Amino acid sequence: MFRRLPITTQTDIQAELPLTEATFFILLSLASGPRHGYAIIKEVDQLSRGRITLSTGTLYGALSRLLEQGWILRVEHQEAGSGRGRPRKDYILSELGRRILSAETARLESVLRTARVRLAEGNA
Amino acid sequence: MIIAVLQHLYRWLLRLYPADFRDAYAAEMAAVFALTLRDASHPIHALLIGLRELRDIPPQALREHRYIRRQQPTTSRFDLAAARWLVRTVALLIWSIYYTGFGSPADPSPAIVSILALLISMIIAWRWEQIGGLLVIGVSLLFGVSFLLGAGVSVLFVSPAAQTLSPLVTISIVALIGLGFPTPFIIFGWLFYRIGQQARAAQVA
Repeated sequence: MFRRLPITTQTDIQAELPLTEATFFILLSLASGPRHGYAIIKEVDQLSRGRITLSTGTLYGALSRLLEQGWILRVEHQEAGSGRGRPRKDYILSELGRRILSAETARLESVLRTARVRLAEGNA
Repeated sequence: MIIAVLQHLYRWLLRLYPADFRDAYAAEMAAVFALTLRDASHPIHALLIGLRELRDIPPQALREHRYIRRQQPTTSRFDLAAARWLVRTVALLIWSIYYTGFGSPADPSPAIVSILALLISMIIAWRWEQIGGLLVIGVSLLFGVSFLLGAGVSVLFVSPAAQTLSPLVTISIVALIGLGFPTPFIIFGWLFYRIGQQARAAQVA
């Protein structure tokens, strides 16, 4: 398989934008700490106020892509209270993922600002 | 009962995913699916969620297969197989045209012997592409050179038809046949050889 070159510059980050809404909310759900698959689904549902309900297929397709791009990382740890010591997989935002998320948030803010100014001009 | 059936169906449908993806995520996906059903407020709600999830698996699995195919280099197994069959078919077609043009196996002329030698080389190339490819090139070159130097020249110079032509035209015809006959086979021999190389590289990769 071809490996993507690492993103290093601000221009590279801008080239990755805009993110799809699902990707944005998945990254956002990981912004406050590590989460496992089911917690991500719940968090995305909550953050999007029920607009985005991820199926497991959609979630893991997206997670696989994000892992490949190096935007998130997968960590294993022992599940609390599990007698058999089954390892649980959590996902965390990487440094690159955080930079991408910040850039997308800034882009959305800029779009919103422009839209508000234009709407205010229309109302005046 | 319904939940158990849904979980069983879900695990079965996960087989649609590519093997690598399945190895990495199938267990986790099944666990998340089980949690989703467990947290549903009502059995009917669980059923609806379960059905939505089941419906979502085939298109997502197809997407993963497509993604993997897009990521593969041009010498992917599929492209290689297509190229392999194309070269085989065209080589056989060219051989058939030459065979019908030069006579039947009952006629043991040098041309027929060469065509049969080419057929044997192509059969070898079908299985061992690199060796067979080199054999096809070798036999073609041998035939071209022998035609130019020996049998072809004498046949054309002594035949009544050749006597009516000027020496320049006769030599041109001999050269054209001597060089023209082996050229397509040299090309196909080289293609067989290259495909063999690519297949080996893909195998190593």
